[in-house]
Amino acid sequence: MRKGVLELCVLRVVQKGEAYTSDLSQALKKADILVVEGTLYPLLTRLKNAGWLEYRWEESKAGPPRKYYTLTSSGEELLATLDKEWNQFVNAVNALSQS
Amino acid sequence: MKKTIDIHLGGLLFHLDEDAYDRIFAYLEAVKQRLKNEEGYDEMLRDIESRLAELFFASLHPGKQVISIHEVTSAMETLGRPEDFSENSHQNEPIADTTEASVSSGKAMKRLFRDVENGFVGGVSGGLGSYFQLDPIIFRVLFLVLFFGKGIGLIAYFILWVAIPGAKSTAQKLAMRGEEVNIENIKKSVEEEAQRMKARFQEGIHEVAPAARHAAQGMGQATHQILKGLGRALSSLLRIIGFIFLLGLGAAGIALTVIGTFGFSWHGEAESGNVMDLFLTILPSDMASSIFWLATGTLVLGLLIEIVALILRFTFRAKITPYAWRLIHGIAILSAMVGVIIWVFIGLRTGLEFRQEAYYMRSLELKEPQSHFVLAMSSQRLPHERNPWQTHGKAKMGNAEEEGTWSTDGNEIYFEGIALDIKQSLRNVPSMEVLIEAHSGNRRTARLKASRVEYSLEVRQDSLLVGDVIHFPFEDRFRGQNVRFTLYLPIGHKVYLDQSLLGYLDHVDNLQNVYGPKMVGKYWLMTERGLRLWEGSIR
Repeated sequence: MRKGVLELCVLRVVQKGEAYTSDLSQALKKADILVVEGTLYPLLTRLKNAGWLEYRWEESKAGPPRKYYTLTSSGEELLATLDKEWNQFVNAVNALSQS
Repeated sequence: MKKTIDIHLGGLLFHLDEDAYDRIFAYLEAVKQRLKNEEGYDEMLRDIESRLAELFFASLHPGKQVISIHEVTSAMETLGRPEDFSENSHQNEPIADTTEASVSSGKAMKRLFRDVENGFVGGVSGGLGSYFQLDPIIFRVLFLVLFFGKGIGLIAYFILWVAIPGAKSTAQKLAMRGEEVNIENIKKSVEEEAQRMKARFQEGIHEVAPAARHAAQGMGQATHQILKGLGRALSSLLRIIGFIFLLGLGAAGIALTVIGTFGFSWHGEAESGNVMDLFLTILPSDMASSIFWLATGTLVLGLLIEIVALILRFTFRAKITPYAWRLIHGIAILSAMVGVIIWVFIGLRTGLEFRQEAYYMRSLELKEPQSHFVLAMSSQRLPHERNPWQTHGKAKMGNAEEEGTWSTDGNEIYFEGIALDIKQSLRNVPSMEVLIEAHSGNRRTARLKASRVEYSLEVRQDSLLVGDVIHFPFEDRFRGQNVRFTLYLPIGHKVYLDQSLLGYLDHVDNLQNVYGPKMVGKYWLMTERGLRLWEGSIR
């Protein structure tokens, strides 16, 4: 489940604008979700291979070129679906805890 | 000063110090193990390496060119533990153990290393303490106790110091402590892997089976380590032996050579605590024993200083300045030289006391035998034959065929200094002549010493019984005292040579021209021309 939630979070951050690994990890950290960057690499690679993310290279003054990730159109669709699922899920959980 | 290793990460070149290299190499290996079954493995690895390069790059500035363990650790904190790289980390899945990765868990056990950093001497006790999870002080005390038990502790320590490798790398230090931190375990085993691979790349042998290669490399390293230690130990040992050999041989050798030139050879054995007796049986009687101790003391002191200095240097790796070294060597050699000089002086003095020989003669007229004389040897016991703890040795006079045993009880020196001869009597009376020989610095004292030699000669009717041992006062020292018994037979007299004379009749002239062993057990007749075998009847 954590894997799924993390996926959703990553997609959301990327949706706001193209992101580099460290941007992602910082954004997630700010939201108290992630601790380390390491976890992101398999995730990003998997999402990219699935066609939901794409990246472009950008030269960096501070080292090797960076990969900046953006959502593909199918990624947008996936995010919409996941959002819907997530809201349903949250509502369900909330409903259970309120009853 | 530290060695650096160059690596390139994400297309950039970095200088890493050894610890940092070991650490990051192990880390990446562990990450690879985690990710190797994931899709897009190569890409992920490239991304991770790029990110590492970026983190390293950010930490460098003109005043900081080398990546140290600190930068590696902070980069690792940013990226996370190898376990974090797996998306399935929450399943607590063990690291794949089907392939080479098995080394990670299998070899991540405690190993015996010397604790070089925290060691008191060579880190042996510290290492043993870490290994057995005991306070190192226990081992230190043990070595110390064994050291006083005939130096076994020192030898044991030295051997262990040579044999046990020092924990140099971080991995070895961790292995020494047997730390169970996951990443460290992996790191250590991976480091072994790294060593192997490094060697393989260096030698450019990719074809050789990895297992064989690994074994060969391991053996090579172990052999190298042992040889290095042995070489170090051997070179110091050789120096010590050479030093002892030269000085000891020089001293004792010169003394005995001087004595030897006077036709007398002597050697002693001392069991129990009678070493002093051993030397005093031959050293000049008027020489104060303190001179002897002075010589021995300074010689031994010189050797001890040298040995201790060498031990300090090679075993305990003491830091001694070259000036101090010269001083120590100087004192050691000077002290030993003083010892040698006194020993040579003692040797010369002793040798000179063999210079002058003198004889003391007694003659015993014998009664006419009924038919013949019987000449026999009575075997007497030496002090050490009664009490094995008495000092004893062997000695040989210049013209004697064989060595005789000597022995002392501290009051008298006993010696098998006996020879027998049979000659024609120029008078018409049979007689036994006893010729006692002794040496000294001058004729007078030599004769005096000869007169003090006691022998045993029993005459029972026609039987002549000669004792095989002579003795003389301990104060007279060993000065070549020996007794020659000569039986003078008038022509026509017969003598039976008893079997007990075997070994004492080597120079008896006879018409048969035979040596002692063929003379015993037979009757001999004195003729005008000499002693002749008598095969006729005995009345």
